[in-house]
Amino acid sequence: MSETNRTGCCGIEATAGLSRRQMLGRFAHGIGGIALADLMRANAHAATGTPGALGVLHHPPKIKRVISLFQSGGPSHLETFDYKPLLKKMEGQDLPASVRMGQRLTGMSGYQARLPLVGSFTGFRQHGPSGAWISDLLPHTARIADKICVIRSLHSEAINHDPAITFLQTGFQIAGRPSIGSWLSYGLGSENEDLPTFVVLITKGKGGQPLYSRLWGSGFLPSRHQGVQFRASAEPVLYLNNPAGVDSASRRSMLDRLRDLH
Amino acid sequence: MTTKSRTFVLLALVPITLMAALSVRAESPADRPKPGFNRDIRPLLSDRCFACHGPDKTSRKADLRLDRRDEAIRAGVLDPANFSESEILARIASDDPDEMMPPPAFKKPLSQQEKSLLREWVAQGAEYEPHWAFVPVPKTVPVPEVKESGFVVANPIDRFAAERLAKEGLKQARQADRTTWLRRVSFDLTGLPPTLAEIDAFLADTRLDDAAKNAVLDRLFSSDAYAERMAMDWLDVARYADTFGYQADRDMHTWPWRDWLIDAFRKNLPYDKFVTWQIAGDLLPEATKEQILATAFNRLHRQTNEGGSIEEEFRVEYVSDRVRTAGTAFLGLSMECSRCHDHKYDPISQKDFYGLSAFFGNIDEHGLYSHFTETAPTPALPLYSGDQKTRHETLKKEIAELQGKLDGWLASYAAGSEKPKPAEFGSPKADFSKNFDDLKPAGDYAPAEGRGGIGHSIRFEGDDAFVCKDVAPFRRSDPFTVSLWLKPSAHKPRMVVWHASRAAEDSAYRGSSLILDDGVPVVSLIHFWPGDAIAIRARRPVPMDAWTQLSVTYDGSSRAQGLRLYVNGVEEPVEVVRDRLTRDIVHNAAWGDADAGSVSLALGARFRDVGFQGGQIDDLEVFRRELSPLEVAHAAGAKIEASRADFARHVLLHSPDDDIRKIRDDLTKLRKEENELISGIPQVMVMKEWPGPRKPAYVLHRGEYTARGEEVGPSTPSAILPFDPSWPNDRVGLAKWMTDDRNPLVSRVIANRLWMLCFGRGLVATLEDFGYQGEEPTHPELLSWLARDLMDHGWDLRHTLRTILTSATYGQSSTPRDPATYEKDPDNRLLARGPRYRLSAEMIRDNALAVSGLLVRKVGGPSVKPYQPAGLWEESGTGKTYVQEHGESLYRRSMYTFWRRTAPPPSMTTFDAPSREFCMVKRERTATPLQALAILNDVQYVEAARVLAERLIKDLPGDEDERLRTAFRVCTSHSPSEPQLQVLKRLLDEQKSRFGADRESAGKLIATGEFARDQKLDPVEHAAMTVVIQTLFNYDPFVTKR
Repeated sequence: MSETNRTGCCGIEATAGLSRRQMLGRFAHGIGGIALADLMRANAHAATGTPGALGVLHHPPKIKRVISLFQSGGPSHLETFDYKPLLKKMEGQDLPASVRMGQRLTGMSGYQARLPLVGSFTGFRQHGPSGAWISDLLPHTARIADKICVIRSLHSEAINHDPAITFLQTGFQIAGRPSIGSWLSYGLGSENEDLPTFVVLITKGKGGQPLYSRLWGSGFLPSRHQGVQFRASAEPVLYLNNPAGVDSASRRSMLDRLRDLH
Repeated sequence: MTTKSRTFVLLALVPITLMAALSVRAESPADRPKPGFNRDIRPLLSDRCFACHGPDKTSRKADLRLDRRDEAIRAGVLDPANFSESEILARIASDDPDEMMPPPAFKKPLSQQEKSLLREWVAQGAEYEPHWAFVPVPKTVPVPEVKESGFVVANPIDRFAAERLAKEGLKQARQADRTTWLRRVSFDLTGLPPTLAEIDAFLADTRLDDAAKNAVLDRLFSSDAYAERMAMDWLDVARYADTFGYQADRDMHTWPWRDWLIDAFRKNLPYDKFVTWQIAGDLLPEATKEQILATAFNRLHRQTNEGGSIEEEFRVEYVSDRVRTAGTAFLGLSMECSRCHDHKYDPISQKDFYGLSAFFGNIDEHGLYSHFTETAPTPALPLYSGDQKTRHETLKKEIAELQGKLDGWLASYAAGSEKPKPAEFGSPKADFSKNFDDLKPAGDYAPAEGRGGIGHSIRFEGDDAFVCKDVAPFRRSDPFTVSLWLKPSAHKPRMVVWHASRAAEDSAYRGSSLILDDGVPVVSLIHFWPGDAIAIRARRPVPMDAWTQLSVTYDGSSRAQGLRLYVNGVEEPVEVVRDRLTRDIVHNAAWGDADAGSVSLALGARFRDVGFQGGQIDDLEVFRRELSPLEVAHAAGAKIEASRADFARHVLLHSPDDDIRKIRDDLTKLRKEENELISGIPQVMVMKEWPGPRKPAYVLHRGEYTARGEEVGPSTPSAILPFDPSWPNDRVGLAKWMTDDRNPLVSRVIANRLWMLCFGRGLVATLEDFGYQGEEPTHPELLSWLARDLMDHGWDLRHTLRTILTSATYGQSSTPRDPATYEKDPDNRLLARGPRYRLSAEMIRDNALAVSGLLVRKVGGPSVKPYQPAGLWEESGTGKTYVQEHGESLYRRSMYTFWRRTAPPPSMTTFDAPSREFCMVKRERTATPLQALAILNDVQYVEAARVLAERLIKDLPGDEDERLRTAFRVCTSHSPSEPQLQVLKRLLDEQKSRFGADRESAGKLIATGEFARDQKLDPVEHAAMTVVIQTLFNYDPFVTKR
């Protein structure tokens, strides 16, 4: 399986532009006893944020954030970035043994009477000075051909969705390892204590993407490194909205009294 | 110090935990004893050396292992003549990158202090000690004397704790007040808060503490809530969930095992039996339903049904999960490493792993469950209710009797001496026939030359089937005959000739089929392959490129011997592949199967299976009865030398003799009846040993299912305890090995779990790892004493719990005498105070339900679907919709909340519950804003708050102060101080004035949730009180055990 640069489901949210006060303010209307204690802990090293396991990096990072799109169920590489003229030329012929090299087949195709090759249904052209091959289906992307980097060497030994996706996100096809975003969160740390270092957005729609929370899980790393899923709904974070009939003034008074009680 | 600032201090200290731990160790050389191997040296060697010089032989460098003294001496790095001159010391002292150890590339250098520890240890003779956890629990463990004063000692636990405290110069905390103790113990044993009546009764108990406390424990132990609470923890260990996991994540129907679990704790099943039943209950003599059901423990791992998956890959994965889970749950060892290579740290070889897997792999299972049918994967146990079992047994007995009569009659007829009369019969009339002469090409099949050059036959390309829509699938109790002529043009594995099924693996092969496996005919009737099926296989292939007549007859008996295969009219010798068919072989809508009623007989191809590519079929005939051997021969145009047995069978099927006919008719009727009865009985996955010779197990290189190495039989890691040859070489033997008095781990691991349950931290903090990489026990002798005491008391868990809970150590206030103790020991390793930590996800939700009076105390049964934010399942993309239930399902204990592995309930995961995809023996405990948000805004909590508010207003009309006092007490078990009461009053007043000005909002708030409310209450008063209760729900003592 060849893949483009959409390899991970992580997004390290940079928070450089947010002051600590702003961060606190953002959550302030919904902080109860537990969270209060958690935030007060943060005072201890407000200036430093959460250091990552790597400590000081051997060279200063040039980027502030990673946005990774994992397009489960998206268009195939064969119709987007992976130009394979020979495949097109050999369309209809049986898969040669020199390509398959004894690789196992899935129960889906393994019993077919034949294993014919099928090429891309779309045309490919080279774009920009780099001459990157891009499908005719992506005319807009083609115009920024020199701004992107395409990696065509990723592959997985897994032949089913679940283990393959798990492998792509965690480097191991058996569930239970940290996802790539969790590793980044663990290794690089965060400039703040309170906002998640790793957030996940999934497609709004009727179940188009089979994605499981494990794919942004933290495995054996502490759970603060797990991706926080933002939802495509009126309530982007679970339980964020006040109950019906409670406005922020009411909440404020309640939280003030809660603080008094503590 | 106020509660508020205490909280602050406690949490602010968390980041320096590690420093504190180190400082406990970093005493000056003068006052420290000589380095202990277990305490000081092995952790160093394990962390810095064993990766290359440890138990794993494949990654071992320089043929040197440092985990064994004799080996280190043999390799010349320890010099027994002059230890101080040992090579190992030169290497750790060297700064030459080529010489120094560990090498710079390993990136784990030794500190100066660590080097001096090693130097000192080597110089003193490099004495090794066995790892503490692998030393058998001593027969008696001496209990220390406490010489110092100022320690309350209620039982031996306190002596161990006091000895350590005295050594560290710490004081025992004061004993907690009765209310605090009662609240603590109620949560620990039942997961629920004490009621006000229970608190009052305990406070009014004039007996001494010991008697009063024991009376409380008696009450709690005998409650259903205790059994539920104990089960709750084990659900994480057993990776219990309601769905299979992986991509499709269908429902798994394993809640009957959860019921068993609750029942086991209710009956106080001794722990050795608890272990034995779950590992090997099915193999115990005269195994009961409960014992067999317990083994579902081994089937709760994830399973997949994703189309195209390779069965063996996942079967291997499942078996490995069983090994891993048993390793972590019972032995406290991480087995995972040794799946791919010898363990790098612990004495568990890769061969040990696969030796264990041989115990767990010997069941008749398939690596994929079914997509089109809903059946429990085999092996499975029917779950009878009422008199079903008796009725079923009776029916089976009656069937066996009649079958015996017929078999006897056949045998005596065959053995008789009188010359059989030539049978007289005409050509049997088929219920369905097809000669393909008028076949139109369709799909990828087409007409071809007919048999004998007459008319047409059908020729297949193998991807499309010829479907006989008029031929309904055969049922398990229906006799039938299918005969046809065929001409294969190639022999391949598993080519489908005919079948009456929906799919191959995707429907667990449910149905009937004739396939040519490399040309060899195989006939199967299948409920769920392979554990619930009959199948026979010819001993030779049919010829290629020639016409052969194949007839299959079946007598409706569900026995392999009831299936017959005829080649060119002559019965073909066969071997029996499977002979256990207990359920019907059709799709059944009542079971939730897809496509019930739309499956029919089909030829030449099957969904995701190998088609009859290049093969031809002609002259198909289907009979809704069993043809006799004479009839089959006749139909095939064969001249046979009919045996007496053939005649007997013919006579049996056609006899006008009333007696025989009656037996036949009765048998048919009873078989149908039995089939209907069993169809209505649900089943659950369990363990059931494969009856044939043990299935071979192999060492798998790198853990890959395709890379089979050495064949292995069942075995256990000998470094832990050698396997006694008198034990049976199966899972019963494994259970005996586990629960043997000499097994050093199992008793310590459970004692540690019980300690964790009460203190929130194990004596060994790494519950999941008692190996070299795990943490050492804070109180090793206490742990051994508890383990010994548990075994000496018949593995009675309640006994050990009672001992812990009545100890003065447990009874301490969670506030230490000296605040500096927090600094020295923030994790309470030294036990200088009582436990204090956030309650579990289940306990917090159950607490809100309990205090509001909403909690439904129904025990066991299927999982329920309470409130959940809309759209979560849909978003997870597995095509499932969460249909929230109503009424009492909203208010059951949290352990009954439906658990979907790919989208677990957020009400639980927000509070650190795991996904249940794999065994987890210890939850993280985090504090996040999301948790506060959940309690503040989740409809479950808002509703509970407004229901409790309503109850208080109605129970205590008029007296607002008393209402607030009671609210505080209901939520915290304690009475409020005057300042606290003033805060609540102010809050109530503020809310009243706000809602008074906005009655609409008040109405909205108190309309939250589905529980009916008293419309007569003043909405403003009700809403304001609801906010007060919400505040109390978020108040630290509500969510914190202390």
